[in-house]
Amino acid sequence: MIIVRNKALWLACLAVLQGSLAQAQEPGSPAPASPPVSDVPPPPANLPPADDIPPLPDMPGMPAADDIPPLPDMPGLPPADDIPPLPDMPGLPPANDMPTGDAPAKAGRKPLSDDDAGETVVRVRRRARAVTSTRTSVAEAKRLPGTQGDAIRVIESLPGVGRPAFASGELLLWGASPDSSRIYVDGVPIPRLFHGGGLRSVLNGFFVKEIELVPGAYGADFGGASAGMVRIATAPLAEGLHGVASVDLLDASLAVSYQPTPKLFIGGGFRYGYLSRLAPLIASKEALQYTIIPDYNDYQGRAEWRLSENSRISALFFGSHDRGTAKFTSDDPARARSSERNADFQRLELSYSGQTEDGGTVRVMGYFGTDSALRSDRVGPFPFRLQSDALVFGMRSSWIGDLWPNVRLHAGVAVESSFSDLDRQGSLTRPPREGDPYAFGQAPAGDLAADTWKVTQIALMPYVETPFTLLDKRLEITPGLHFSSILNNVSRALPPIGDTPTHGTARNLTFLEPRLMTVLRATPKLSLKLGGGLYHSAPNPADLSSAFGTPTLRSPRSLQGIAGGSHELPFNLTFEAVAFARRIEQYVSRNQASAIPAGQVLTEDGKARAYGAQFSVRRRFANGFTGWLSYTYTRSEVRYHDSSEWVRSDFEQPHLFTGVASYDLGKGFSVGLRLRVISGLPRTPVDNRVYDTVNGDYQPLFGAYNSVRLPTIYALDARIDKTFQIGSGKLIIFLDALNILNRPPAEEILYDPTYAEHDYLRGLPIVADFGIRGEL
Amino acid sequence: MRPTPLLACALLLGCAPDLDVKASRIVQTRVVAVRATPAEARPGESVSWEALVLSPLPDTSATKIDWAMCSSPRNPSDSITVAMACFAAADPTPGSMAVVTAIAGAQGASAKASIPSDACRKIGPEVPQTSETGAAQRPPDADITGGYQLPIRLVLTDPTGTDVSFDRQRVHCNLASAPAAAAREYAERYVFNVNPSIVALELGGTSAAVDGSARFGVPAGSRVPMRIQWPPEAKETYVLFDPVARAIAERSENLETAWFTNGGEFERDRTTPDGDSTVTSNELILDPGVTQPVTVWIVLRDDRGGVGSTRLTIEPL
Repeated sequence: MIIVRNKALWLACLAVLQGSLAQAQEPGSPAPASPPVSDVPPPPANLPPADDIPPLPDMPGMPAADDIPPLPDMPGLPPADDIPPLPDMPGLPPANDMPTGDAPAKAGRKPLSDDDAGETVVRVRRRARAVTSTRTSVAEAKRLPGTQGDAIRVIESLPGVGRPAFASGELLLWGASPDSSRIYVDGVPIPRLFHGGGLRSVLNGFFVKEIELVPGAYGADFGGASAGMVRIATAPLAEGLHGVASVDLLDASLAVSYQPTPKLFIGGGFRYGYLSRLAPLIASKEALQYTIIPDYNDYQGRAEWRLSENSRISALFFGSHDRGTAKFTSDDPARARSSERNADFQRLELSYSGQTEDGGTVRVMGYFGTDSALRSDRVGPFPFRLQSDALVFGMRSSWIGDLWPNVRLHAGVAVESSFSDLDRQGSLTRPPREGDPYAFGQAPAGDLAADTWKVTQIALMPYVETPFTLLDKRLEITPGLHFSSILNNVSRALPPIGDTPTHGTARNLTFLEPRLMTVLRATPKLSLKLGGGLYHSAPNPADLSSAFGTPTLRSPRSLQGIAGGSHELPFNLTFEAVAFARRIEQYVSRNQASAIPAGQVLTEDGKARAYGAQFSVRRRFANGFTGWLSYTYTRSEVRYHDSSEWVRSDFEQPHLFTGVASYDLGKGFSVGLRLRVISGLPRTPVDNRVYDTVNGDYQPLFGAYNSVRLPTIYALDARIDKTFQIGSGKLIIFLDALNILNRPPAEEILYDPTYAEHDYLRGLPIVADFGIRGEL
Repeated sequence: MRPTPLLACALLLGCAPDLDVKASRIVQTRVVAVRATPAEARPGESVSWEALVLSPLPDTSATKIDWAMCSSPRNPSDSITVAMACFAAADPTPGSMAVVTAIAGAQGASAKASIPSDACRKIGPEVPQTSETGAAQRPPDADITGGYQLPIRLVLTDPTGTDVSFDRQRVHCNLASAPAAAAREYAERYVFNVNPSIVALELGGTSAAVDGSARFGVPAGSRVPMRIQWPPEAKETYVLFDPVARAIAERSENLETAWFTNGGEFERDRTTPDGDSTVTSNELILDPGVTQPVTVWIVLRDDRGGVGSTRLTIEPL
């Protein structure tokens, strides 16, 4: 990513792109380096690349292909949703690779021949897992503006997703705190979706089939999130040899897959970020003092063994590493700062999926991994350090099958475990947590505490759903029940006092969580939805310190409800409107008692609530055009204690508007625009100041909590790419330009050291990312 | 958790606005430091305080300071270095808040009072064994030098406005939460803090008295190099209870110098010596249009709250 500081550099970026295009189009010019040659003949010249074939347009008078109501189940046959994977046919990819047309799946298809021109895309309707969710295929996402070719970054543009502070990559779903939402890859929880700074996702898109955003009210098969979740579905490997190589100004990546035997599929990928090495060439030394530019890398390995026509075993190994440091030197030693951030995780997932004799579908998955994170700061003489290392493992199994005619059963059990070692030193109030008045850059108070503690959390979560249909299958009701039993063991209940031995505390947190999803297909084009349920999340291990937190915290309890509907419109448009409400109890905040009991620095008498409405119009890919308009209105408030008033949540952004459009110009050219208008995050103003004669520093005195906002953000992004078909592969050159209005967003309120003046800390001006991607 | 400034600026290359407000420039009458004697006291001991006041006004006879003592421990939710309860209202009326007590007999820039005998139970580690809920109470954390401070609030009023500041009087408390062996070692080895002193002052290479009587004639708008020196013993060695290792550790004080003037600004607001050096220097940039005598305060602080100071007067030429 480069900040285009001047017109010359901006033009240079364009010139590079134009030069590349000119060279590619010039007759007789040398061909670009060819990707590995496939043994499959190239497609006819008059056909678009295989990856770029859009889904077939919907027929007039017919509902959209992916919204066709499920067909009635045939006696003796499994329901359509539960059809197991089809046997692999020689020369064809697995059936479940086909619907979404993601990169690996598409890459796995034989390139089109004349006979393929009439290819039928088979769409199997999936079991609904949430009343409201947005699914985006990788093929669509990676070509949208703002993603820089990274499909998972489409999340930022989806309805209901707020813009976090400083592009931190945190998930703000319908105004909820990032800790309230979870991220899953094939059902395996991971701690983060993006590398440091939110520049890049942690999973190479080559291995991803689909990105699903569920901002709230999810089904009974998952738990642990009091708000919403993002689910990444990985793609089965395609047959033959395939690969993707990508180079841009952020990083370089390579991913390949191969089928050495008819039943064995293997693949691997690696990405290495080098922006930290480029940054000194493009940014001033002073600017870099303010900046953490992470060194990051991620990797993936996958193997699949297809046991039979209906069953397979697969292993997926993936991980992510981030390292970042920054040092702000100052003539004033009290204002010198340094910072270090490390964040790593690894996961190994083993899974089996197959079909039972009675037509049911079984999936069993187990995973194992590690999480590690370090956050270390020094502001003047004041240190802060939080190190956490965790061993995680879990499993998930499910069975789906017929119970009675029109009634199915989806039952399963999930186990999620973590064994965390944590080490923290520093002030109680740094870093500030939600509810703390805080001025950006404010030095810690100077108090020093320390604690090391261990947290063991083992969650056993069986669930059951019984979807059934009424009214000639126009009404689908899915009642569900999710049960959580969380063993929460903390090594230290109280801070050490004198020579008294410390002791731990163990609690078993059990919850019964009813869930409901209802969809009424009132007309072929109109669907009405209603759903909700009760949700809990396990306490955050970082909050369970005896010195910095409260080891006996329970679980925030969330009640969510959604009502809405969608309507098919002409021109492949779908309109959706949803109203939502969420109320969380046992919300964790600082203990404000005048005398704090030992081991009770945090309390859970807070409450949070959010409500709003969301409207979107989405056009499915047709005639080379796709895109959506969405607007979300959200109020998100918190009452930190029973005795306090409701105040704005730190994450409330009342107005979120996103417009995304991508158009295929033909001849391999594609252009896109994204416009986002987003309310600024709330901030607490500094009304006055006092002088600390010991430190020689001014201290801020705050006004009403979160009573002001950062200015509204207007961001227009653009993308242009050109695809060259080269044999069975293709080469894509893209330019992603962010913030082409050159309106740097206000990211924070920055005060001078005396708190006499303030201004906005502005974000990125125009940024251009130029890259090349080759696919085989 | 919210992002810290460094993380917050992640990839915001060149994002910081220019807010170069110099703390060394005094545009309103204010307290720049408070010197306590002794610098560290036990509960029950008497302490006298002297506020170092700098004003842009030639006549400071109208300046009034209300002194008060605050006995509220800092809550983790408090956003500044002392309890917000100490500043809930800027009204220094004695008894206006239960935790704030006016210091009787304070006169102008000086005050004297005894440290409350229960100070270590209120703002230190010797908190009552049980809280209101009956559970053991969490004692406040010591600062990074192992000390506990009693807030002293100063509300200064004069024609230029009202300035609120606070000192934090270091109070010596026993280690209540440390292992017995560490508590004994601490009691045996701890050396009370002593205010550092400035023993030499140079202005443009010319030595000057450090008793506040120094006067120099300097052309308006000129840059004036200044240098101070302190004795090596000003940088004291002391022991503290390290909460990380849960053992006694030895530390050396860090010294820093703050520079103030009412007739210009310093190139750097604060300076530190290199390593164990006993000198530090700075450069005064006199305002071009200054005509009245300019006062300079130089404050030498150690990180246990000790203060030494000197002042000089510059006659613009």
